[in-house]
Amino acid sequence: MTPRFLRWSLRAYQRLLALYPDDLRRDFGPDMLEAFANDLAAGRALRVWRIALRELIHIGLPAWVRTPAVAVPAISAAMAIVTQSPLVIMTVVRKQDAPPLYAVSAITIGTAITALTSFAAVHRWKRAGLISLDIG
Amino acid sequence: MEKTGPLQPATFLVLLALTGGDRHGYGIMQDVRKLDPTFELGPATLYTTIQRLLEGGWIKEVSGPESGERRRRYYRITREGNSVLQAELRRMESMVRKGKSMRLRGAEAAL
Repeated sequence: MTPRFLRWSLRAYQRLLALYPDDLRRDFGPDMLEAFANDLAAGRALRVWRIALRELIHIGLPAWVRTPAVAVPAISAAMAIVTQSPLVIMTVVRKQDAPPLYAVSAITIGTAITALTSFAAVHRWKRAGLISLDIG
Repeated sequence: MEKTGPLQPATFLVLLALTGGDRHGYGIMQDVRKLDPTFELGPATLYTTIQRLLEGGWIKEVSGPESGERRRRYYRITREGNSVLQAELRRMESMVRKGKSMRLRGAEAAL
């Protein structure tokens, strides 16, 4: 293994550490990097990278997806799609404008459900101590 | 941390590695590979496991010898961790005994 590949690998792994949970990275980031570097130095580059990428998929990405910054917008978008799509489908199928009262009601209820769901999710994470937001 | 059911392989192997004495993270990783060469333990699995074991009080951080630029953190199995490991070993022994006796009964039935 060339020193250049070693340096590149360490830089790449250091960047990938950003995808791991904050507390793990904060408490053990340098140790993880050191263990990775020791493994690389032992000369098993392909195996080391295969294990690192598998861990990223199994440990890093699921934790990242659970963070509020990703999960809340995803839930909001999903809820908006679920609640608004019947109106859109109905309008397309009937090829006519939906009644104004129905449209207003559907959009209002859908938006309210979306907002409440997002709020409940964030509030639950806050109570679990996963995030700190001033939302009471 | 309460033990609920069988230990995860990484938890079991890290605890087992620490019965050989205090180890730093990479030392644990090397010992685990000697104990079970088929188990692929990478840095993230190792330190996620160490983090969980520290939180549960099954291992603790101890001061180790200083070497190099950065002080390495050493870990030691606690009494609670040791009793959990012993219980797991007893469970595994029991399973092996049951497995062997079932295989013997199966072999007798085939005769």
